[in-house]
Amino acid sequence: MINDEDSPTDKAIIPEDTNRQLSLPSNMVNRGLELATRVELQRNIQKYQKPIRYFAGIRVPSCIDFSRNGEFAAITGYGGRGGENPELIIWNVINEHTTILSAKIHGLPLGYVFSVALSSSGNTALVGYDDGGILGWDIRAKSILHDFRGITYNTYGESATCIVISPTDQCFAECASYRVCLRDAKSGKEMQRFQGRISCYNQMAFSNDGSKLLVAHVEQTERGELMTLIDLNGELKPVLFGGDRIRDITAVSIFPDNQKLLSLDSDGVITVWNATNSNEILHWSHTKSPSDVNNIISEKQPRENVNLVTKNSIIWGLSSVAVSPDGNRILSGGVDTYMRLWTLSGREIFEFPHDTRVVKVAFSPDGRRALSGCWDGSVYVWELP
Amino acid sequence: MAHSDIVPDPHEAENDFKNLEAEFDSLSRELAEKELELATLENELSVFEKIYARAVGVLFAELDDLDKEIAKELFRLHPEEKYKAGFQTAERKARASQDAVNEKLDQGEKKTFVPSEDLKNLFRKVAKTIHPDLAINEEERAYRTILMARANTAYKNGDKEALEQILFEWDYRDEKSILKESRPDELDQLEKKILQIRLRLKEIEIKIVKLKNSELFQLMIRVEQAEQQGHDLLTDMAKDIQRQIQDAKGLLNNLKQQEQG
Repeated sequence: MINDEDSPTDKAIIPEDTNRQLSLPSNMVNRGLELATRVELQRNIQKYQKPIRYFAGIRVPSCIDFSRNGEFAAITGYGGRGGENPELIIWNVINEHTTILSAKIHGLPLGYVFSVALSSSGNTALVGYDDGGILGWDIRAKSILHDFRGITYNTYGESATCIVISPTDQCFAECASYRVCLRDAKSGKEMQRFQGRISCYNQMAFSNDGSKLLVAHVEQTERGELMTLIDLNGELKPVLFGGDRIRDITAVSIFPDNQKLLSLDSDGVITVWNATNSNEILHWSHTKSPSDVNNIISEKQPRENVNLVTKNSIIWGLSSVAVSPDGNRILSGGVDTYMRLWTLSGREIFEFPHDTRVVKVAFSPDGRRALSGCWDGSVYVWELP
Repeated sequence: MAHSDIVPDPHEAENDFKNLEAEFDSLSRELAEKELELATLENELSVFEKIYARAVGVLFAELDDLDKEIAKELFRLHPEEKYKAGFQTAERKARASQDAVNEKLDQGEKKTFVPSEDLKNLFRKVAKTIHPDLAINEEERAYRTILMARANTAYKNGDKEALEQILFEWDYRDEKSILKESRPDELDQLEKKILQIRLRLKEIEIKIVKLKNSELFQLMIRVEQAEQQGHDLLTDMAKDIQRQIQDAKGLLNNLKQQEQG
């Protein structure tokens, strides 16, 4: 890292000419950058309105994840509509090559898919089932790497509702009902378990350096908190986030600086949090008009498995937020079928229309492109303004 | 120059020394090059900042001032705590923007910083000759430091004569207080200098990365890229703010005509 302070010897070597210092306050430059983006966008609007590439989808409600290197998408049928043992499709975002993996061929009777996760390089995928099993795939070899049957089982319920693989690919976190488990990626052995009075975890995100895990849960604490930040290296005492305003958190992300957190809730509100003192920094609405959302859902969405709809019509994990690699931009995707690109101050830069609910969004590693995945299993690659 | 009096194996020592001399030569060339790159970047940014303040910053300040007036009218129409706070915030923002822009405008207008090859070569030569990290004692370093600061200013102003003057002064410097031969001839001195140069090179690298990560640099690059595609980004931005100013003026007039209540 670059030290912000100039060393004292440096100043002694060559005295700075005061006029060489840049002194325009950064907010004056920042708003200029934002304006420049808007002006350029107006000039090239057609360029951004259509995706560069897309995968046409599998026509059933889907679970989608992207590899951190931005090269692969994993798509698989979700819940009962996806059927038992649905195929896992790996779509190469760069060359559009498709790999289809089927647990059926391997003669493995499994339940309904509830979650999917890709490793950073996209070489392995983990699929979580409603019977508590997790299946690991070696994608290149098209073979099953792990068969963690029943590892999420506990007395309250056993569905693997969310899996995330750490950025280093050394471990993964899975959650089911009342606890979160950190497991060794090779053996599946439990490394750490987080079990509190908080119930029903439903969404998770690792920080870019893998040192922190952010977990959203369905039921609030007495003080209304809905998110827990777990420091995996240091103190294991979790930090809680939330408040009266939010009913359910449906998607979470950690900023690259580890200082801020991002959440999207069931009212379509995006919130930026201070990770240190758990205070809210600012919030704004992902949806333009919340009342429109229900209409859009009934018109455009494939019919959802009723069992999966929890209170407030939120389906676990089926909306998404992402922070750009430089930490200055935000992507959000949700039930209103739009993915939107925002500045850190919550100003909309652009909206990307989709046919159905957007369930997964991600930035490419260089921050210049976006990936979006939809409820019908379609995946899109977008050029970002 | 052979210095074989103390060292047991004269050939080996001489080879070491030659290697070090070669390293020193290439490093001091690299140092001059990097100093040039840093000075050029700093000057480009400083000039761009002024151009930006003049073309766009003033309009932002005007818009902020209108926002302040609007907030004031709103407070007049609704004498409530909420609107008072809004007005105070707008007032602070308007003042900050105005101050920032004024400061930049006071520094005078300048065309873009495009140093000629002659100027660059001259600066390279000066940096290579007088760089403080080539000093072998503190007195010499102090003297070189002053000259280097002058060289930076001269480069910024595109003042070739001033750069030549620095070289002239160096050639005819007071030889009593400063050693005439700036080239090191002792092994440990040479090693010390090489270390000094390496440290400075690292510092320059950090400074350059910092500048290139700055928002101002990003903006400058975008303006340059737009220019290559035949667009004047700063003017387009200015037009956009002017539209916002017109809207704000319309709103302000409406508010002014409204009665309290």
